[in-house]
Amino acid sequence: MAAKDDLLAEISSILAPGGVDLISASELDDLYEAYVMTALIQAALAEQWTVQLEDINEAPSSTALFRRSPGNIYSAPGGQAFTHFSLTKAGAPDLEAHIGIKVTGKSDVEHECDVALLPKEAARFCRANRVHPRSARLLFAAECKYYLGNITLGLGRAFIGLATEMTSQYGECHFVVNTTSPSVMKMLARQKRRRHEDVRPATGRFESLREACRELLHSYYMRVRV
Amino acid sequence: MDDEHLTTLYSSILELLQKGVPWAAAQIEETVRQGRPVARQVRRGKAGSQTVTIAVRAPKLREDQFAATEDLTPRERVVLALDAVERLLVEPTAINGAMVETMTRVKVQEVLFAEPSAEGLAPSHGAGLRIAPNEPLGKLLEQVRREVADGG
Repeated sequence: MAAKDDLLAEISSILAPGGVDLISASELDDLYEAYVMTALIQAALAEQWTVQLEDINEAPSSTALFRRSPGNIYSAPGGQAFTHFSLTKAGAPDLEAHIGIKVTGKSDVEHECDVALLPKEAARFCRANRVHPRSARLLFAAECKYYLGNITLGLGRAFIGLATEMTSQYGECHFVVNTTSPSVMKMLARQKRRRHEDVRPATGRFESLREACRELLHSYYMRVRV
Repeated sequence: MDDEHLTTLYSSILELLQKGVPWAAAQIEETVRQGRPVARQVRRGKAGSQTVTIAVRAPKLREDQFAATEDLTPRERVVLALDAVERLLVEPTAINGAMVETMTRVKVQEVLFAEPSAEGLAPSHGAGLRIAPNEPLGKLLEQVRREVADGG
């Protein structure tokens, strides 16, 4: 059983003080949200959209600064200069993709959107008037969870509540997780909720998420092209 | 590996995580508490009811099938703990690599996160940069996973 002992020794050395600066659960969530955002970016590129990182003043930037916890789409005096992605394509109104913004749901209550895609014109209005976007304007919203064990039933129930609040004519609310849970996924399937389990490198599920993003971008383009 | 060895291995991994990353151990214990959903097929007769089979839960339970939860076996607990260690110490590096690759395609050179505090005092940090690639750990996890699956 040398492998077992070696494994325990390796874990012990990594977790020992000075072994490595361990990242916290919230840092893993941050990383995962950025990873999910890349599915949207890849989908946009594949659909011939131009993707550009912009700061809050819509100036191009090469350093992405995303929110660690949900915040406002508009700026606060002395606050961080958060960035978003601008998506442009000839013949279609521009879009913006954000990480960690607050959105107003059907009940006029604020909710948190880990990844959100909305028309640039709606985002501009919100920045200018210092208000949250309405969920009805969202084209895509993702609730992202990076978990070590199985996703808990509570998270699945919370997502159903969120998705109910975020419904709009064309918008889609997706549950994206790195792991799975037979019970949660079954519940979401029966509730006809968009869900993506095991989304991580080398499982092929990231590609499914990217295709879902492509489909919604394509549908958007077909609806609005001039 | 018999149940006794599997239980010891699970406890050892959990103990290490509890010391270094208690939230990680808590997530594993939560999954163990959730157990495994199963379906029990119950035959009802004049002499009362009798459970005849335990099945993997179907998408839709039949009238004679009822939902139940079973404890994870020692083997399932070890697999769960090994998966969790991989998600904690190995996969973030791969996710970070994939994320950076796409960001580079759209000319993003650096990815930082910060708290949206009005004061702007919260320090930024690079996404996933604090975990270095750990190939030996990945290989050891694979090896132990095989031994656990083989029962060797």
